[in-house]
Amino acid sequence: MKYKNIKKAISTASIAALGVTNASDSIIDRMDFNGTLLFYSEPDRVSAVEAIFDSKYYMKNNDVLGLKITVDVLTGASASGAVTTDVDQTFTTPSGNGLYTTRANETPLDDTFKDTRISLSPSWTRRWNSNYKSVIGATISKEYDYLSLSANTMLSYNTDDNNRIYSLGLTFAHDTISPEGDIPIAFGVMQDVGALQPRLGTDDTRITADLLLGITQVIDSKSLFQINYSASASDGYHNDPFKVLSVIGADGRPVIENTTTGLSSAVFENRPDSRLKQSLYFQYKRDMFDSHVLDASYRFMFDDWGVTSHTLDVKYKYRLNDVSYLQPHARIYQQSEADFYMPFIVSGKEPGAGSSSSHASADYRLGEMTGYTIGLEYGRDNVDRPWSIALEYYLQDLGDIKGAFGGINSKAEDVSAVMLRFNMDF
Amino acid sequence: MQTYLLLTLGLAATMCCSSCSNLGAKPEEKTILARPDMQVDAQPLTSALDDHIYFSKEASSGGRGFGGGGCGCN
Repeated sequence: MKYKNIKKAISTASIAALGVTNASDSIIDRMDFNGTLLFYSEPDRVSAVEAIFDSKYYMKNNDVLGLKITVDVLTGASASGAVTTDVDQTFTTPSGNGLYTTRANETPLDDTFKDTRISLSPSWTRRWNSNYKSVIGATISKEYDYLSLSANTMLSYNTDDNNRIYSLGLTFAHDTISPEGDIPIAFGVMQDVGALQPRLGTDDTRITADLLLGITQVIDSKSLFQINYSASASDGYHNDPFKVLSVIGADGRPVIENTTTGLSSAVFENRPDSRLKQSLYFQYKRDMFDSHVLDASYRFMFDDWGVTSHTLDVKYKYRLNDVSYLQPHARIYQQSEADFYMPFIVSGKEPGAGSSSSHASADYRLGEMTGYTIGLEYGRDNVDRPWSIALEYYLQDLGDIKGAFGGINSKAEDVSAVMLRFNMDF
Repeated sequence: MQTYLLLTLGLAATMCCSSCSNLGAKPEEKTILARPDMQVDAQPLTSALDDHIYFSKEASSGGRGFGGGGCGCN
């Protein structure tokens, strides 16, 4: 009853927003509201809470209008890219206004991250006839130092026998980043608090165009598969302005930039200003024993940065009874390192500040990595208000630090996260 | 190497689909396929969350759709 009241309240507000004073005059046939809430936590690192509210309005002319609202709050610490060594290290925060010290044998983490993002995604779906359907949408996403605007469209053709769907999707996005402390100069040396930091400007931009071609095929009365090819081309600013590379001396320890303050020598990263990613995605779904569902997918991706990745994802929906189920989930992800990934730079070999043609990043997300996710979801469906709750564990095994010597730790610290997710249809 | 692998996978997919004439189900056989949990993306909000998380933690994104993006994720 309580949930029905919630839906009624949302429905009334929605009808009012559309300028209809009497429900019987409504151009809306029915509405669906879905929500999800995620708690994400990495021990000693990032914590995030993300909520998505999705509303769909089924119009009497068979169009569907949608509005998805996403809010997430991020706080905590993120690896700066500097090496872990057997000595204490001191760094300047991205704003240039503070210092932080990392103890020996601990991963340098910048703990000043705090951000809130809100994203709005309206969409319009029209089924033109029994064969053709189009979706047109847009997204505006804003956070403290980032603005993303995008438009997307998806056209699909359903064959006469309803056994195959061909899909074509396009997205164009324009992103603007205005980081705290401004845009660092490539390979500029981090300076002490109060000193002039190597900065290029206050903001920069990137444009991205995405293409997706897909085929969904019914195999038989119990199974189907999907194959997608996608390409994503981007041009513009690809750096992470908060990531640095340690400058290592002959003794295998960070060079001390300033012996008075103890500031470690670190230079800001520089990535190529364009990227082309391509991927093939296979998904297979099968009903098992007239009630359970096997959902398996594999993605192969590569890009012109030298990254190749494989992702295998399997879910099995095990129905406990008519209205409840358990769904175990496993995901394995493996990626190779980008051509320009390097965990540190040896002193004397670092490119000069502003060397835009040289590329280097110590961001572990561009290094070799194997990721494991396991999870379990419990849910109730086939009821008035379906809901589910899921707990997942994510582990990133980052492997060895290639070329480590002297005081540099030879093994990168693994990153783990716990995720708790709650879904509900109102 | 990657291009060849992609071409091989694409060729396999094309061959697979070209032999799809024997695949499919009649309308009266689609009761199971019509179930919400048998749709290709049965949990779109969960997919959206996953795409966002893995986009921000790994060097790959997309595939299933236009996954991730839209943030300066650190």
